[in-house]
Amino acid sequence: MTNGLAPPTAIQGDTLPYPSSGAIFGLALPWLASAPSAYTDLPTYWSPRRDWALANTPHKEDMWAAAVTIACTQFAAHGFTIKDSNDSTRRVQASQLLMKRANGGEGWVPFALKVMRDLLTTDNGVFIRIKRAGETTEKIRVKAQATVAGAQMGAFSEASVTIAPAGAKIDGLYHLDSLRCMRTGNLAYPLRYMTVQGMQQIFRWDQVLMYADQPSPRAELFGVGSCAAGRCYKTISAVAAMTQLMYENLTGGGANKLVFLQGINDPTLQAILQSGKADAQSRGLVYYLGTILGAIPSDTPISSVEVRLKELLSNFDPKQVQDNAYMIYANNIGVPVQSIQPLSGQGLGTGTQTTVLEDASKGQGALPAFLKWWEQTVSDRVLPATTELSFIDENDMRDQKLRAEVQSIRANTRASQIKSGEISPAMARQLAADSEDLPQEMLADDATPGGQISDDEKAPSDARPNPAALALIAGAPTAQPPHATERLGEGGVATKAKADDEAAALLDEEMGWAKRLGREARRHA
Amino acid sequence: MPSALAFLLARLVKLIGAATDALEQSYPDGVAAWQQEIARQLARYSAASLMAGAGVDTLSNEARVKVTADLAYQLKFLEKFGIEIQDGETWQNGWNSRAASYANSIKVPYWRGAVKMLPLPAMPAEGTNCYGNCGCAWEIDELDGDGNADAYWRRAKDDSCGTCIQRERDWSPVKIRGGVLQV
Repeated sequence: MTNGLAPPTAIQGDTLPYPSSGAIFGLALPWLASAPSAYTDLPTYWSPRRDWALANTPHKEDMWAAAVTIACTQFAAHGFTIKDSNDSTRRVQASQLLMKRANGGEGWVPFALKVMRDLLTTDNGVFIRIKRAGETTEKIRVKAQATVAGAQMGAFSEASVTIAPAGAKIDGLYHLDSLRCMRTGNLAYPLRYMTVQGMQQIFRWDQVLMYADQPSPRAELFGVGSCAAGRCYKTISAVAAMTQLMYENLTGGGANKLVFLQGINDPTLQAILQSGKADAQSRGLVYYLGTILGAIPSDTPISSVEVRLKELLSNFDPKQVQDNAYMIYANNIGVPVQSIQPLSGQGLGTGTQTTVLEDASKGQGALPAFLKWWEQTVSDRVLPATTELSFIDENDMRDQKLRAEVQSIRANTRASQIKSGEISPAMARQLAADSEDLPQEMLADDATPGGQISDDEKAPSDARPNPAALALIAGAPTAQPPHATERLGEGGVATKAKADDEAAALLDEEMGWAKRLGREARRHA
Repeated sequence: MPSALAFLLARLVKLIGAATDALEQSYPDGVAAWQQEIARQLARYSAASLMAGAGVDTLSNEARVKVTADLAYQLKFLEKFGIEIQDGETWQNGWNSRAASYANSIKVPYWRGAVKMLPLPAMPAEGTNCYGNCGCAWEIDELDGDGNADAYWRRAKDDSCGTCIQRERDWSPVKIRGGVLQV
């Protein structure tokens, strides 16, 4: 991981000095991390308690948990590329290590999973600590109110502040527990964090990255958002309650009606029930009792009165509720609905529908927006000025096919440009390398300083052509290429030149015959 | 039509007709060879036509440049025609007459020679709506002084196309003074 060296920690107080120190947290954790006992209305927007409830939603509803897992793992498994516009291998390598050794060496995948979980299940959002080389931590005396998710307001008098030399190299990225983060509203120190040991730590703006899904436009909320869990909390609650009802119905827990019997006494009834249970046990049944038959030695007619305690509406359709829920989950998270709910068995369960739905879901929801933010912010604030990060979905075969098709179109365009004499083969190779159709290492001199620029790329620092570019320009074609197009087009430069050459050659060959013919024609005049 | 031009034109039409008939027999094979043969004949007759028009036995540099350009212009059309034939599924009846029409292209170099390479705005059958069927001619009235002439566009047919009628109006005469077209 780090060649045998212990990975550094980002937050003093988040790691414990001795291996045995974690024991007390091991005992306390089930209580600390437990979810609210029942589904109730969410606490008011926004409060740390609300995030506490939201963060626990995956423990309450299975399909929601699956949807969150899918989104988290999709992000963690996303391939990314790091490019440097100056082709610096060292910078690219260092930037890659920054990702691969995130969270003090835990690695990209655990880091990404935690970040995504916070994104989807907390309004407060995502907080990432940027650690710089040569940091020193100092304790300062403060007097302020501290609010920690799940706890009451409290006061603290001491906080630690980390100081790094200006422009110091970034040597680590760390996920910060969103429930322990408080936005301060201060531009210079936008975040206060409470460590596991209870220490308050204040972070400067360049030491933290903050992002929330659907950030609130209200100034007093300082960028708190509205997470996917919050947006579909009612749905999660409804599906969870429905599942729980079904579970209790199946396992015998909970009562759904009271029945008053007249004409039979309690000992007789209990005896009949005991007899039924014994009979079921002897057949190896755990929950199902079937019909219990009991003989009652009496000529008194038995009557009963039922009082319904709870039951679903007569037209209630659980399947419809579930289908709606899956759609709501998928839309809020930003994944195709069929990745949560398989399409098989449905009327339109086809590959075409999958494609259509996947296309429709691209660019929607929390996940695609976060990917874009991550690309832009990491390129802008974390990586060196000439280095950029971009995500590629390397697991998507359809995406690969589309990329191959686009590459083919670009190759054809370059071939046409060579044929028309617009560019030389060397220029075509440069263009191919710029659009990543040709590996950069197969180019002797890269003439493009910054490559092509899209919205998430950085502008090159110097727009003047470098010596390699000047060499390319000097080698630009001045005559038609040797293998100009075989077919003549209207007005094409190469085709016209070819036709002129061909005509001149023919005239030379036929001049002898032409002279004889000319003389003969004059004789007929 | 001048008899020298008529002689050349009649022979070329026969040659192209024979070559195209042969192609029709061997179709779809032989398109490239046919194309090569037509191009060769066009080159031969274009040059001969210019020399016959000028009444000379050799081509000047200026004449060579002009006839090369005229020939190249026709070869472009011929190339496209060849592709069309190659891509076709069955032989089209119109292809024979279309091939024969290439013969008319030698009218342009003939008139270049006939007007002694004067810088006239266009030659008969050049840029007209009647294409190679043009029956018009230039009539040159040489004036005193070096390179001085008046040129008249004369129509020989009574069913001339609009271009030719307009040219007769506009270019009767066009003035050339000191070897330069006066516009």
